[in-house]
This record gives sequence, C-alpha cells and structure tokens, in this order.
Amino acid sequence: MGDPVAGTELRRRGETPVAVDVVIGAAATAVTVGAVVSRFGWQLARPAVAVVARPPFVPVAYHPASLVPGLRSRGWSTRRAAERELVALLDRWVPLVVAAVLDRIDLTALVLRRVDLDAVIESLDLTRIVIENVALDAVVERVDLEAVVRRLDLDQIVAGVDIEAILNRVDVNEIAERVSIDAVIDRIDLIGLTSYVLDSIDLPEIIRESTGSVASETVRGVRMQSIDADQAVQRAVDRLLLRRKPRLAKQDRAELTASDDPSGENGTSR
Amino acid sequence: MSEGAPSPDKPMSTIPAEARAYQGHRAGVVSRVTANLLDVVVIVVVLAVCYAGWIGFRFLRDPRGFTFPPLPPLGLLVLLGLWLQMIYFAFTWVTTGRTYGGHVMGLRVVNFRGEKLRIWGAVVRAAFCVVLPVGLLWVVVSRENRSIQDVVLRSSVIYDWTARAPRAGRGSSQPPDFDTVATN
Repeated sequence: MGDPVAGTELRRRGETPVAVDVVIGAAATAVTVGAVVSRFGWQLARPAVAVVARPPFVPVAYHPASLVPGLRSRGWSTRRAAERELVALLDRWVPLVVAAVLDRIDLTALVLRRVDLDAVIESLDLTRIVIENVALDAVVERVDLEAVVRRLDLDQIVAGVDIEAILNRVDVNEIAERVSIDAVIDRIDLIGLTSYVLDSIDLPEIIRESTGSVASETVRGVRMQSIDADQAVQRAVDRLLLRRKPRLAKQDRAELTASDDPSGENGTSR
Repeated sequence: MSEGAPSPDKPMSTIPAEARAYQGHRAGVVSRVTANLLDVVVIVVVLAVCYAGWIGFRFLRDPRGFTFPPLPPLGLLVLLGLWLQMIYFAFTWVTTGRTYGGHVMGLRVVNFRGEKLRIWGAVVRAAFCVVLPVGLLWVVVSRENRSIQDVVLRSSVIYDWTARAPRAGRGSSQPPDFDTVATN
C-alpha cells in the first residue's frame, strides 16, 4: 500500500476515492485469507469434528450429528417463512419504490439515450411477429383501398412496366387456340356490322362508278336536275301564293298524318 | 348510320345519296311534264312505226301498184294516239307502275296506299289523263303536288328510283315504308 506507483495508479483512475479501493482490496484479501484458513482449518479439524459429531461409546441418539436433521428441518421451515415474508414485503414495497423511481426519471429519454433501438429492431423477426399476432384481415377491412388506389399514379406505374418483356413471354398462339372462334362469331352481329361497313364505304356509289354507263349517268343527271327544277318551281309558286308552310309532298304516311303534323316537318321545305 | 343505312329490315339502297331524301315524295310539275312529253314521243314513234309497217305491208302485197297511202286525217291520228296512249298508260301503270317517261325521270304512279294501281284504277286514271291532260298543271299550285286526277282518284306520282315496283295491294294493309330512303 505504500507503493508510490500503485498510489499514482489509484489516483489516476478517476473520481472514486482511493480509500474505497483500499477498503475493497483489504476486504478481498481478508476473504481470500479467510477462505484459505477455513479450508486449511477444515482439513485439520475434520477428524476432530467427526469424533465430536459421533463420539464413540455414546448412543447414536445422543450423537451431536443426530441433531442435524432436526436443525435442518427447522432451518428449512424458518427459511420458507422468511421467504414468504420477504415476498410479501417485496410485493408491497417494490411497486411503490419503482413508481417513486420512475416518477423521478425520464424513462423515455433514458431509453433513447441508453438503448440501441436499431439493434433491438434488427434482432426482431417483425414479419413473423406481425403474421402471428396481427389480425391482418380485420386491418384490411378497415382500410379504404379505393382512397389508396386514387392516390396512386397508375400511369407512372404502368410506364414502369416492361410490357414488351411481358408480351414476349406470352404465347399468343396458345391463347388463340383456346379461344372459341365460333362462340365469338355467334356473339357478333355480322349482318349489322356488314351493313355498317357497306354504308360507310358507300358500296352503291362504287358499283355505279365502276359499272355505270354514260347513259345511266345522263339519266341520273336529268333526274336530279328535274328534281331541282321541281323544287325551284314549288318555292316560286309558294312565294307567289304567300304560303308559309311547306308543301306536304311526302306520299302516304305524310298523307295519313298530315292533319296531326302542323309543323309540316313531313313536307318538302327545300 | 346515315340515311339509307342497310339493315335486315332496311335493305341497302342503291339510290345515290343526293336523291335519297326525295324518294317517296310526290314529284313536281317539271318532272311530270317531262315524263309526259317523253311518253308523247313514244306514242308518236309507235304511230310512225305502225304507219311505216302499214306502208311496208302494202308494198309487199302489191309492189307494182304501190303508192304511198294518204295520211289519215289529223283528227283520226290524234284520236288514235290518245286511245293508244290510254292503253299504254293503263298497261304500264298496272305492270311496272310507270311509263317509259316515268322510268327515265324516276317517277312511279301509286295509289293512296303507296301501291301500284289496280287495273280499273289505272284505266280510269289513264282515261282521265288523256281526256284532261291540263289537269296535270294543278300540281303547280297544289299543296300536295297532286294533279286533278290525283286529287280525284287519290293517286300520287312519286319519285321512286328503285327498280322494283311496289306490289298491288291485294289484302296488303301495310303501306310501303318510304322512310327507308326518304328522311324528311
């Protein structure tokens, strides 16, 4: 203890008073010495203890060793009672103490400062924990998926999809073999479709242009000119006669409904 | 689809688009007068052919003594022409619904149901037209483009460029649907 180096070392260690370390060192030495002495003393005293515990020529009932089971039983009972009292004492005092302690410290700040939460999270298998402990169906039912979908930019998502690669993986021929062409054709209004196409391309006009003769073109022209002349004469006469309503020139249906059609929509007003 | 669009109920029209709107409408005076003039030409040609045939017959029967026969009196010719025209009108109206002049001008004569005239209707109308041809001019002032004959006999002369004539209405209560080609 008088070693100056050791003293310097002790002083350099920091805030703990040197006396504390001296006391601890002395206690440790004492314990070590005590243990050695006890072990050595026990080695020496064992024969004597054995003789004392079971003295010869003394009935067994009066051997000191015979007292051991009784003492042991009493000690066990006493220890159990003490444990129960201790547990009861702890049950009563520990919550109070812990509450008092927690009231005096900022546990959150303490955890944030002292605990490596990242390491804790990394050590957890969160997927397994969620799957085993969370009612995912109930969670999904409470989620407004439509609102989520509305917030998605589907165009951007689709733009990120490599459709070409997907198409390359699709066997169109195989899909086509599965398609029932007859069923598809049955569902198509072929007559209506054909009529629509023919009307769009004006097939009669094409036929007329390809097969029409000069004579038929002349007749067509004469007819149209005569119709125009008819209309011109009608307009002139109606103007002279101060007629305001158009003529009821449409045959049959107009004839039947003329009295019900004051607007004169069935007439030729050109 | 546009007008004239074909469908199972409305067969595809072969009529030019610009004329479809007029189909089924009563024709005006210009078309009808032109058609009648063509028919008069037809009658004149028929009479001329008949006269030529009569001359040829006389020549073949007596080539040596052949001389051109004198022309019949004008009144007889006119009477003959009118008679021939009446037969011609009645026959063509019953069969196709139109004379040659009507065919050229795209006109057809129909009754109040929009059907071809029946035989007696055609005969009466033909006689009426031959006797009173000036009745055609009533079309000019008629609000329904009808001649006097049409007003009396409830017939009509319509634009109809289709080749098929409407059937004569024996028991047919359904008038032809001119809306397939006429929209206004």
